[in-house]
Amino acid sequence: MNLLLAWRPFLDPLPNIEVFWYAFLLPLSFFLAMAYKGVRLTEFTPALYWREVVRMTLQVTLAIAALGLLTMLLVMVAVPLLAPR
Amino acid sequence: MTQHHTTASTSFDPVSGLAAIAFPGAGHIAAGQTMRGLHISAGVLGLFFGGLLIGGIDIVDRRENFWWFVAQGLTGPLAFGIDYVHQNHYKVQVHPNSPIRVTPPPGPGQTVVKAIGKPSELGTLFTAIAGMVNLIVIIDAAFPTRRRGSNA
Repeated sequence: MNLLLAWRPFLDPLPNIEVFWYAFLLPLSFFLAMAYKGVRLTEFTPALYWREVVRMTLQVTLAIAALGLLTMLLVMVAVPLLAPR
Repeated sequence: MTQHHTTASTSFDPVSGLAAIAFPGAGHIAAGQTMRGLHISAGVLGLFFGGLLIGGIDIVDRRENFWWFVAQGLTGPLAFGIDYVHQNHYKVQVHPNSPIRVTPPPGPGQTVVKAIGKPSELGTLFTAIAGMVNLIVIIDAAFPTRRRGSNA
C-alpha cells in the first residue's frame, strides 16, 4: 500500500505486479489488435472493426496462453520423464 | 490460377508518410481516413503509454537499452522526446567531469526508480511492440495499396 502511494505514474515502475503480471497480456493483445486491424481492414466500419479487434484479441490471448501451458507441461512433465533418475 | 488484386493506387504518398512518421495515425488522417487514423493512433499510443505506465520512464533509454530503443524509436518523435527528457532530467552524472549519466541509486537525490524484473520486461515489450506496429502503419500510409479482399 505504501509503495502504491509513492508511485508516480509514467515515471516510476508499477509496484507489486509480480503476482499478476500475466494479466497484462490482455491489454497488450487488445491495443495490438486495435492498431493492426486499423491498417488491415479493407472496409472500415465501426461494427466490423470492433468485432475484428475482439476476435484478434481473443486469438492472441488464447494462443499465448496455450504456448505457456505447453511450455509448462514440457518443463514439469516431459523433461522430468526424460531426465536420468 | 490465383489472381492477385494489384492496385491502381500503388503510389507513394510522401505527405501521409511524413505525417505517419511525425505522429502515430496522422498519416491516415492526412490521407482523409480520419476514423481509421484515430483508431490506429489509439492502438499504438495505448501500447506505448501502457508500457510507460507499467515500467516508468526508465524503460525508454537510448544509451543503456540501445537495441530496445531501435524498436521503440519507430514510434516517432514521441519516443525520442521521452528519451531526451529521461536522459537530461532524470539521470545524474556519474562524476562532475564525466559525460556519462545514469539513473541514481535509491536514497537522497533519487529522481526516478529504476525498473527491474517484470515491470522492466513488460514495459519494454509494450513500447517495442508499439514501435514495430507503427512501422507497419507508416508503410501503409506512405504506400497506399489496395488491401486484400479478406479482412483476416
